[in-house]
Amino acid sequence: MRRLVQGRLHVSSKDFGVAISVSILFMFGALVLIWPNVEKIKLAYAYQDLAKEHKELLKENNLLKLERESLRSLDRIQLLAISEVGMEEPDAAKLTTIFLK
Amino acid sequence: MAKQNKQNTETFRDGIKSRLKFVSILLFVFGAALISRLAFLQIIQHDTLVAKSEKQYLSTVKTHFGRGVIYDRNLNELARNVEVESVYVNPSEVQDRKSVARTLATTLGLNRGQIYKKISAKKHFVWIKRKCSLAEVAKLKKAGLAGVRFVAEQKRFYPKRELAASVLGFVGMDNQGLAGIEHAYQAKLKGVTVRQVTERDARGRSIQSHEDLQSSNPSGYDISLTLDEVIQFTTEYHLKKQVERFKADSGMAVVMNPHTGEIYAMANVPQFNPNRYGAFPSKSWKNNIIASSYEPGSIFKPIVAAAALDKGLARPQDIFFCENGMMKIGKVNIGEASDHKFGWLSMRDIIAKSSNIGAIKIAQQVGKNSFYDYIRKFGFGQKSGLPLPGESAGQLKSPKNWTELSLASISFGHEIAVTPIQMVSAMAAIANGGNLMEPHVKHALIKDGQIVEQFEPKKIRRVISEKTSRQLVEVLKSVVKTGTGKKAGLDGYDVAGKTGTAQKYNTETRSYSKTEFVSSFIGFAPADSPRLVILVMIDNPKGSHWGSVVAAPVFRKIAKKALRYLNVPSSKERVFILDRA
Repeated sequence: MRRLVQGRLHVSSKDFGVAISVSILFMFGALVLIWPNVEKIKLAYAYQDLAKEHKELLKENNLLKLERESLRSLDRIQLLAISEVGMEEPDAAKLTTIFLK
Repeated sequence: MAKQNKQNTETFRDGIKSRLKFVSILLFVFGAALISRLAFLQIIQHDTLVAKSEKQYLSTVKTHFGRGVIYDRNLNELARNVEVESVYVNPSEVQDRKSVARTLATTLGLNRGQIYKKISAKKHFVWIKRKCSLAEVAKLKKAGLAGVRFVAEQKRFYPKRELAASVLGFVGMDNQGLAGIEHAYQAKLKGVTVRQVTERDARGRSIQSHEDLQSSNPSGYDISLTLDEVIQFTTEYHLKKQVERFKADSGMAVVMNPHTGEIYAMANVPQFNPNRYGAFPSKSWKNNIIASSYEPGSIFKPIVAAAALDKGLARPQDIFFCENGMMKIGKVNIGEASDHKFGWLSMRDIIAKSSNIGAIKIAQQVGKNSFYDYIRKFGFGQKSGLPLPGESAGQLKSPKNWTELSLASISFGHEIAVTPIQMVSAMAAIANGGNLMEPHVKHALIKDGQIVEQFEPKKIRRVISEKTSRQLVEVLKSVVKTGTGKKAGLDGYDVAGKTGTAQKYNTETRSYSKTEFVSSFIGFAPADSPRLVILVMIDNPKGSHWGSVVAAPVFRKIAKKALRYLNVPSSKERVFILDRA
């Protein structure tokens, strides 16, 4: 190898070692520089997917809240209480008020 | 040989040198060209190219945080938003126009011809239908039509439908408040649109993390109203039933806290559903409680009595001669309702039996200027300050313009027009010890679930003394105990109030109708420590027109349920006080 390097490239083995080391260092530096960006992009994709899912869930939650509020409307509850459950208004004699002190 | 070798070497070196020179020149020229080009791109065209590249990899995402939620006083939702999608078409991308138009028309329930015309236009954007239903959008997405696109929008939704619709109002297609609270508080409720710039990759996917929008606090305001869902529902329910029973044109009812001016309920019948307000006549959108004025009739008599008592010109037991049912003022004969022929009546009985002539006699003692001053002090002839759109100030002529008959007419609630909100505020002043409170419907401003502004009761002025107020409360109690307002009486509670039956003025014939009336009852309960002031007005009831028959029972039903709901026990029920310890 040494002969090959010395014969073909006309450089000393020391110089060759330095050149190889510098190349490796450069590649390592480039990797260090690029790797976080690659990770960042991967995380960004994951974040976007989660954000989309979050948005969908929020939308569904909003629709459920809306449905809950519609179901809680008092005219519907009164109708159900009277017609389906058979509830009726109590008169004063049936009422007891309890105040907590 | 050696010389020849040397010569050859020199020739080779010269050749190399000249070649190197040539290559160097070439490199120099190439380098110079490269530097010039770089300078041109990086310096001269810098801004243009940066803009171009940003356009390729940056995109602006607009996030709209829809209108604020409207709550009642207990944070029950009265209006909120729902995300829906609207459909638009890019006509240049549509291939088979006939087929697309047919699918769109069938799915969205629209006219095929009109859609075909729209998608044949030489435009890049045409709306097909805004704010479609979820089912419509799902069907269209399944059809996968080329050129048909969807855009997310916020739609206002009122989950309680007709409840308090005339107070809440409604919004237009672009979510702009058009009526009621929605219009009055547009600036606070309109919501916030946040623009964010994100980086995209070659496939158009966003690669730069969004800033967390929720933690950056971009939301707008929510509003909590003083309305109480339960009291509002009770009021609307009983008012509607009575309007239907008497086949009346319309009805109004207001429930107010006399000490703070907070409006607990504001009901208008006929109602409308703000989710599809376009399907209802525009007349039903109006909040008549603030926007319409009426001749109040006999419910105005307590104002005359208040003026006389406060000025010290009369006491409740003082007697007045009621002319045996007929009094002539100028050329006009004034009689009593139901042709009563009252002789001598005390002030208490004048109010309890609702004598018109008695009221005139009291007003004559007060005098027109003083009477006018008291009317103004009670807030008539001016806006109440309720921040809702379209408020009317009513009609009150200056004493300079009063005729010979005016003092008499106004004393029993004619020749003056008042809004129901003015009337209920005035009665609240009588009930609370003499202070006119500013009526209000806004309870609090909320941001991110936290109250950022709370509205305090506002006293406008003292109108009458506490003594006058107490005297008047006793007089008004007698109306319900022994007078015309018996049907407003509540078992176990003292009720004070006044009935009214006002003939409607016909502007065409310029005379009072003998067949059309506004029946009303205004009162408060419990009389000695009032929690509620309630006004019920029913316009043009058929069958009976007396306030005592038509409006007083509605008052009783609303008061009974509302007092029960507010934990004000009647004297007829058992009350226990439990010590938590």
